[in-house]
Amino acid sequence: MTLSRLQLGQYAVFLFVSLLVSMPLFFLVLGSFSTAKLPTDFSLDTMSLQNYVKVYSDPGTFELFTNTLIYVTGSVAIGITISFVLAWLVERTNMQGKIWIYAGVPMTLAMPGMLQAMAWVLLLSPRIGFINKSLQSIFALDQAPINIYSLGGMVFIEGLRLVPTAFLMLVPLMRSMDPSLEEAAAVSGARPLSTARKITLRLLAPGLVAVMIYQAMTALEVFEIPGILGLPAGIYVFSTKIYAVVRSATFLPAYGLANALAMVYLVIALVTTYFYTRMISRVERFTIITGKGYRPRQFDLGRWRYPAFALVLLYLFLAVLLPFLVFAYVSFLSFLQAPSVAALQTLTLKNYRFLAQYGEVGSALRNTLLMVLVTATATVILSFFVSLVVVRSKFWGRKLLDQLAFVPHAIPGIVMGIAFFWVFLKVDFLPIYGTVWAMAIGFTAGFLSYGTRSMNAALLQVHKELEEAAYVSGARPWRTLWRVFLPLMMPTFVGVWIWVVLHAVRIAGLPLILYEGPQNQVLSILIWNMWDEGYVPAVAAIGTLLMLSLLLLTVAVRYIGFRRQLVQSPAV
Amino acid sequence: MIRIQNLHMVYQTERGRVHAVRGIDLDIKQGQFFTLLGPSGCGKTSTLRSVAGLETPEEGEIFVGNDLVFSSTTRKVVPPYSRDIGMVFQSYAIWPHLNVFENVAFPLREMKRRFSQQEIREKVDRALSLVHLDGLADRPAPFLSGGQQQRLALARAIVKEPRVLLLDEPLSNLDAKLREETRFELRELVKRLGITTLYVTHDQLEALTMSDVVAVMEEGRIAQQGSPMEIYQSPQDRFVANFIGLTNFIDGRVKPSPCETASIRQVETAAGDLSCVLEEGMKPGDPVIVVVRPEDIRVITDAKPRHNLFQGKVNAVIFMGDSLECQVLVGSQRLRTKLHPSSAVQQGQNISLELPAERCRALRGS
Amino acid sequence: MLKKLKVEASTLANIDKELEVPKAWLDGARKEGKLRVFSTFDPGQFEALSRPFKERHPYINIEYSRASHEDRAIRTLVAYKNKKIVTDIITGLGGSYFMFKEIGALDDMRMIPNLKNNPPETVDPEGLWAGMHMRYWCMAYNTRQLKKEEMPKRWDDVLTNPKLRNGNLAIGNRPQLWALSLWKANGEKWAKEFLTKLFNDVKPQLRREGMNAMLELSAAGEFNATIPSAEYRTYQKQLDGAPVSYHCPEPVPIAVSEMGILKGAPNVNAARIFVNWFLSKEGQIAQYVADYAPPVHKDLRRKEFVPFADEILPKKGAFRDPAIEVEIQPKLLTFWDELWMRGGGKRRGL
Repeated sequence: MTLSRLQLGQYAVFLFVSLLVSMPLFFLVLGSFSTAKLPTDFSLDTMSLQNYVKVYSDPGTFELFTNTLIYVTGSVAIGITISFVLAWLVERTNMQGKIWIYAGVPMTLAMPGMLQAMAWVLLLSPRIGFINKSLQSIFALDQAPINIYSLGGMVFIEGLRLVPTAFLMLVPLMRSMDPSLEEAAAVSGARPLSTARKITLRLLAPGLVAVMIYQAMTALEVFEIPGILGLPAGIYVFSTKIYAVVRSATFLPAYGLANALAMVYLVIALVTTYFYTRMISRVERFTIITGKGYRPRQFDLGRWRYPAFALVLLYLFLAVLLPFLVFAYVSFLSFLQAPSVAALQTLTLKNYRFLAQYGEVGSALRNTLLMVLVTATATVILSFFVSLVVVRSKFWGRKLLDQLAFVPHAIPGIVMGIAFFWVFLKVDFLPIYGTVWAMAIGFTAGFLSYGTRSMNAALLQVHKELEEAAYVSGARPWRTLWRVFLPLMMPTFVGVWIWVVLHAVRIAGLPLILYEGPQNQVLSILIWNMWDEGYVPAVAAIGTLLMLSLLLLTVAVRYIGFRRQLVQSPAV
Repeated sequence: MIRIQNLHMVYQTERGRVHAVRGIDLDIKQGQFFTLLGPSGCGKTSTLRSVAGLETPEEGEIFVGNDLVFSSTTRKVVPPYSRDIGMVFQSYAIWPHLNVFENVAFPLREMKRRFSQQEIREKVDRALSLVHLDGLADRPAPFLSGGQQQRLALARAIVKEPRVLLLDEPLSNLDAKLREETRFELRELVKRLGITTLYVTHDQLEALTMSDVVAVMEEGRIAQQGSPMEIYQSPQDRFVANFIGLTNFIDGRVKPSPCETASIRQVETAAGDLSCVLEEGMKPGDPVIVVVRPEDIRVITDAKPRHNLFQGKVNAVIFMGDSLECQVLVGSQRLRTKLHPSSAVQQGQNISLELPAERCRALRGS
Repeated sequence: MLKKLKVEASTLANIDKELEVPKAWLDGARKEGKLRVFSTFDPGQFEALSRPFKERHPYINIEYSRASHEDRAIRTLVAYKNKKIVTDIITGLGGSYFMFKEIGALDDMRMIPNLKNNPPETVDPEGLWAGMHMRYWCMAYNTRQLKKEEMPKRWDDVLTNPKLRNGNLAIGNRPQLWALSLWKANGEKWAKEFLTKLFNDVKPQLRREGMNAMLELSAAGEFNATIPSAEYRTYQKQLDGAPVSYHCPEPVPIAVSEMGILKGAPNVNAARIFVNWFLSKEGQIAQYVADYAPPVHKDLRRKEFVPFADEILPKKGAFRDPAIEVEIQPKLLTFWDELWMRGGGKRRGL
């Protein structure tokens, strides 16, 4: 018996993920050399370095780098700082009302980017922004004090958008800190600030850097915010360039050029993956694992409870409530207009009626439901097995597997979409093309990176001896999975599942390419088409409904999860 | 019941290859309480885990009962879940998401044979009462104290009445008092059930009080194996002597004597000539280390002539609770003695010590 | 529907006769039972405009999907090359027409009777595409900020109009919709000078939103005017009560949206019947009613079927035909992309 069943399983996971990930990768790399008009016409005579020459000899490309650097560093700095504070407040202090944070922070995940940008345009545009107008009248100013069409504006909004995912990744990190490490510092005479600086932050540093790297890649790829807020001010970043090339004035988008540009992302991804995995292995060293569950020491905020809570409310207000109010307001308008008494008099329900009758809303919702459920479940299951191999096994390729799972995060959604589009066309003996399954598969490949980050971190928390105790008690690997890992990892499963649901509902890049007709039209495509058609108030109506449903979903899940947590937490 | 032949274990670490176990042979009889004793890094835990099947040795053979569970020559590796063993981990490894009952019932549910709910109930209750955890069946496992968790781990390990029980430093996380009670209870339990037990610890007190056989391990090898009494009273080398109990070490050289075959001969030391037990084959001029336990040294207050009488000065007196440790300087040699706590000994006073010859053993020196 | 429009009776004469098609097509369509259409209408509008067709041919089940240009063209082409025909009818081919022609993806439609209703410049000589409606791409403006008299009479006047300077004007990233026709009409030199001055002197806001979303923004006052804007959409917004109106400097960029049938389409009979119907008076009027899209039918080029007719019809037009696309478009686009990326004189906020 050369390979045990366990090893076979490990090979299966490895091969499957390699296949899934290598398709878009292969397409990205190969396509960057293709100068054929159609993105999928690969042939030797159309291969050349021309795309690279064109893109990288253009001085304009390099001007982008400065802007992009500022944009990415700025938004990551803001995003990580806010999410760090929130995560710390929630996990390490005795602040009240934590459920508001748990429920409120993830809500912005499902807001379509263009909608959010539009909301801020309505609030802070120098000409019609509501906040500007109010400030101008209160303080008798000539000019609008805040201009959202600026690098600062872009950085701020994108920073807000990065918070939910960073928060979800930081919370488990905070939770896993061994209190005795800090207590040792305190006893050695270090004051709280000194302990925080020398011990706590140092221990958190690798995990923090890992989250920063991940979010930096997110900020690099996103194009709606810089597109809508940057363009009017003439500010270009890398993602807007890629999308300009793809959706540009050219009569057939130059995907070859776009791929050549996107190769920068791939290089960045490879470099950062290298550093990322090094960071993570340090996290593993620093994370003290025990079989006993305990909660880290809670810091008593004392008088600072109220200011802290106010800070949280401020964040929720800016990131969640304000845009929501804007959507709600716009959804009752016939046409876009700044808030005014006159506007309030023209409020109408017609957008909601329009939604109810718009072509295939019903089938779009059904398709979305199916697609999202499949994607979320597939991502959770696949990430779990990948994590098992990466964290728990001695499989020779497990580091490589981890990197493979991470790399798709760097590939822009549209590039992924085309890659899978082409693959499904080729693989036509499987009836995937033109179905929601195509989207589910494409999405899963992309979401695997988040899923595995979460699962890896959570799996590390499960003491190896808990697994070994099951083995010596007679449980075979599958049974151990079922009876020990699954229950212990259930909170992580739920967390990843929700995150994927929220993203799969919102993201339009990949689905647009794989969209074939009513049979696989999903909500994000509907929103995108409506937006393109100019039905802005109707889109705002969808946004409002979306946010309301998600609020219900996240509160419900958190409430259930919260209560179970309270019951399960040890008295120790 | 457990047989290990020529066990070698090698690990690949950041610092290179580590040869953790270097050729161990063990033969543990049915019903024996066998302890692997040694400092950290000596290979005892690795050995235990390879018997459990949690680690794969480089070389060797392992038998549990009559079953070959590992063989490097035939490449046979029986996985842990097929080995019919019970194990208690150092961290206890209690599953936090299950209650006490379910933790204990787990192994029963994994057996090929299907038990009825009634049978499971009975077995679990019996196991719980054996470890004195009756009545706690419904409690969530994380809500138990450290000592209770340890007993829970034990209950789980014995519930399916395995042939062999493996314990990996199970008492190290308990406080001293609890440890003392548990030592006794544990041995009593496994003897009553008649389970062959392989126990790993670095605490020599545990090893001496609980075991039938102790194997002292040093750097991957067994330094000495024997009953606790043998190990304690007749350590075969410096390492064992030092590791077990407190010992006095006195360097010396064998003196020529009229009868070369006598078991008690003279050794020349810095403190004077010492009569002690020599091993066979020791010749005059051989360097030796004489070991004598503190509790064997007697304080002499009368003037009767004796062998091995030394004069010294009390350097320090340390109250140990159940005894008084007295450090005495005899010339340049420091000796430790153990006295009754009521002894009126003062620091700085002159004292006469007798080292009974039959209690002094000479080991080969270097 | 027709009665609502108060159209002259004579125009509506012979509607039924116009819709006669060979019996073979009808039988074929019955067997096929369905028809797939890719276009840019929003589903509600398509539903409305195809209702008369459905009344006549209830056995044809139409599957409609809406997708923006690149996706539609690219996907259809790539699929076609991989031997998959993903739709029967595709519209809005624009510049990708030549790619379709190159790989022989379009069917010859010359046998469709109502093709003759289209003026010659709105039909492909080889019958590979037929115009489905007229499209005008001019300027939409916020009536609260600008008055009709202030709007530029000719395109050159855009450059000098003070009320359009410094961010009061927004332009979208689709020069092929309007600048292409102007390039053809006024020449390359003029076009390059005009565009350069437009970006550098006028300093308009460059927007990423689609043309229609930009219309909403101008209604909100984010900018005073926007280029390019389509006549039908502006009209719809005006009907909604938005303070917008439409203006065309001369020459007026005129385009035609093309419709074609994929070669080898499985539902070819249904497709032919549909195209025939679409190009008939009934189809064209239905389209106008649903969408305010000006008919291409030569008998229907009249004021009552063109929104903002006064702005458009009396003026000189600059027609965009596919021939000039392959010739001029690449040059225009390279030039434009350069200007666009330069940001037309960067204004940075913060």
